[in-house]
Amino acid sequence: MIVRRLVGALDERIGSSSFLKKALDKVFPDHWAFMLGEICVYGFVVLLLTGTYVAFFFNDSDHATIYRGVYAPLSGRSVPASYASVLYLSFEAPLGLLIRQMHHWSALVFIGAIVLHMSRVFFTGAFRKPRDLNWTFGVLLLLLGIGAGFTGYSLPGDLLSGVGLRIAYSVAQSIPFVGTWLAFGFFGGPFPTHEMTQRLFITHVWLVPLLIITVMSLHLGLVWRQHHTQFAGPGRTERNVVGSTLWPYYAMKSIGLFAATIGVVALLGGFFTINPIWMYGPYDPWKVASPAQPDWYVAWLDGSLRLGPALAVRLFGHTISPLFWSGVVLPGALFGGMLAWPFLERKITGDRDAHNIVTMPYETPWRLGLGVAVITFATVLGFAGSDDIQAKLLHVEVEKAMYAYRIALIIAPPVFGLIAVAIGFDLRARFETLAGKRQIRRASLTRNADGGFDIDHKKATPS
Amino acid sequence: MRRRAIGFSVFTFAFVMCVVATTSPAARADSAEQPRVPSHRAPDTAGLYVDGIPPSVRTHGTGSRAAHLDEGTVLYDVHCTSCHGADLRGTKSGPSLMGSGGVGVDFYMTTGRMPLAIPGTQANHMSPHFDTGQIAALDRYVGARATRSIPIPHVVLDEGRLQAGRSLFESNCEACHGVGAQGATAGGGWTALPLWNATPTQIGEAIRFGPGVMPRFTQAQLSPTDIDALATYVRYLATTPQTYGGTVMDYLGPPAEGFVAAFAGIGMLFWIVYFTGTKADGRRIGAYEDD
Ligand code: HEC
Ligand code: HEC
Repeated sequence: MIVRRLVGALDERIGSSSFLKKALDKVFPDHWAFMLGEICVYGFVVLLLTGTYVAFFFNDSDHATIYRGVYAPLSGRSVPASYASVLYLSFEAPLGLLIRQMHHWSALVFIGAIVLHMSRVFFTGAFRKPRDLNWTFGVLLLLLGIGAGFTGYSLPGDLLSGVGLRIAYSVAQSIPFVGTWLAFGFFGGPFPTHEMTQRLFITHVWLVPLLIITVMSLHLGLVWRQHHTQFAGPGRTERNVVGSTLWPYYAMKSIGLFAATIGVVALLGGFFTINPIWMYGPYDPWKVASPAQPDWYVAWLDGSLRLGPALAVRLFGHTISPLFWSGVVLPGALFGGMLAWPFLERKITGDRDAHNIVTMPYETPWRLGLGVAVITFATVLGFAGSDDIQAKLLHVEVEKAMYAYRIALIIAPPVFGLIAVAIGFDLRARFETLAGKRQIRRASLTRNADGGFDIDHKKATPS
Repeated sequence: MRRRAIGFSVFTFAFVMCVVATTSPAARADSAEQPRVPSHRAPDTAGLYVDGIPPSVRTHGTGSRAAHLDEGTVLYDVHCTSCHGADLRGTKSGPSLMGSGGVGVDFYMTTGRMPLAIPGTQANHMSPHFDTGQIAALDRYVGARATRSIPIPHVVLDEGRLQAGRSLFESNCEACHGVGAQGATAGGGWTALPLWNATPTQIGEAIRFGPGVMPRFTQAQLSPTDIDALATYVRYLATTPQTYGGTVMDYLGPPAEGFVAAFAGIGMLFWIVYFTGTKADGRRIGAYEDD
């Protein structure tokens, strides 16, 4: 085959064949759930490609210019140069709007895939030793992804993202003692500043992607080094992987998935408007867009700010703003908990062994329940972030919707969590009896009144 | 071979999607016809209003003024007294109409808000329950008794003031009615209705009267030319869907985008992964010691 010949040719020159040959023959487990992480990788690649094109046209200056483009309602308006450049990109650059929308959609899909992939890793216990370190990288990647998204959609200088930046600035300010310094340090002065977009731009196109590439390389390097986990099954042990080889099986699948990711994102970018900044208008500190929501991966933070109590505490002569609890403490606790979980679970269960065989979610009902509870919590927060839209669609008062969400935030996670625990125990019991039955080689059966057979378990001989 | 077939179908699928995407609205945005101010297509022909009296009333007006007053009295007694009181000073079920001469009655009647369909709810925009002659008669009846009558504004659409209208809309209306005038929650149980159904005159009337929790804008705040500009922009939004990048999903913004990303985007990819995920050789064993 061509690939093998190529590897041979390379080997004659740089002597790399033993590694490459091994790599081509590396075995990967066959299960769809193990491919979710790949969507993240390809989502990121699409982001880099489309992002490069979009960046060709972007102007990171906040200085006012007169818009003279083709979009009639804004023609002749004084707008930030950044805003004008994104309008140009959208309406005049070749394929500009399609690529811009693909860039934004792939960000939503990228982070969505991260969440799916993390859920899979969590529920199957794949984060346990020796992969606890890699779980940490994963959590960092989620954080970086959210950071990339937020800095990205804040760039065009439109009214909606300006409102979001204003909130972010206030949340940073709410951190006791250092907050004002942090906010001033990043934004370069009191909000809104003229350096804002420049700094966001360089963060968005250089700092965050560089960090993502670094952490992602470590993440994938560790996956390679530590091998994939696999589900239990015939012939599968803690020291092997049963499945198919990288070449040709996984290479083909993976390239196919890459193509599919581009295709799906292109469809979304082509047919669904995303972030129509021409509707929002340029940012003015005294205006507000309505409805005003962040992208979905920040929605839970918005919801947290909406539902959080108006709790202003005075401490050592300083007022701690209510924003601090819902904007800093809550997300800090959530991500802190995620980072710490592998180590916490080891403490709780006392299981310090390395695990390469992963479990089905129902095999650990309590972990299943915890995961469901946390996901429910974040989901309630996320939905609460658009309570005003739901109030309009459902014809209820937005204030009532907010109180309903406050109650749901407290009640729903434990309820859903416990339901999941119960389902987990039930499934586990069923599968154990099933497995138990299969292991019986010889048994004595008794005919029962219904015409069926009962197994006399005491007399059965297990295999 | 099966894996070839799968790989081939995934590629074809992706390729077709990319090709389809290049024919999408977003791909054609750069060559799309750019917005022009549409001629106003709503049933009401604002330009023909003279001194706030619609054309139908003028042709209708062959009868004596007294006849109209009588018609107004009858209509008011039958349809309005129960809630607004015989003396117009209001009851438990409806507010006083002492400030509702002119614009008030005309706006509430031509938008079909009155007589209120479901007591205890916010009046909605519907087709009017009375014809223009009857509305004019009622307006004269209330106007003759009210302590305040705001004249019905004479609104003229002016394409040249589209940009001014857009800018005024952003500063004065967008926060309640939404970026696309699609309507939004205004708090306290009120909905700032979508403005797509309002005629130019009704837009002017709403601005001057301030229905519900909407502020009342005086001449000093918004001049008659400002109202012309606003009406031009609002009618432009109503008649020119801003679908340069594909469907706008009612301008619901990021929450709607989130749903599309989750169900269409992640949904499709999940399906592809699920479909191709387990179909492979599946018989190779790679021992950890091998590398
Ligand atoms: C079922 C009770 C009811 C009936 C019948 C009714 N109204 Fe009303 N009307 C209301 C209520 C309640 C409001 C205030 C609610 C709102 O602004 O949406 C109101 C508001 C108004 C207003 C605006 C007053 C202001 O200052 O805000 C006008 C004008 C009006 N009605 C005119 C009429 C006329 C004319 C009729 C008869 C054709 C009529 N209404 C019949 C209940 C009623
Ligand atoms: C404080 C929020 C608020 C602001 C600001 C506001 N509106 Fe309204 N508007 C409302 C509400 C609430 C209603 C519905 C009132 C009702 O149904 O009684 C409304 C109704 C209307 C209607 C009637 C719609 C229909 O089809 O019946 C028009 C037209 C209108 N507004 C135009 C405007 C314009 C133009 C501006 C800007 C100059 C504006 N509004 C600013 C809240 C607002």
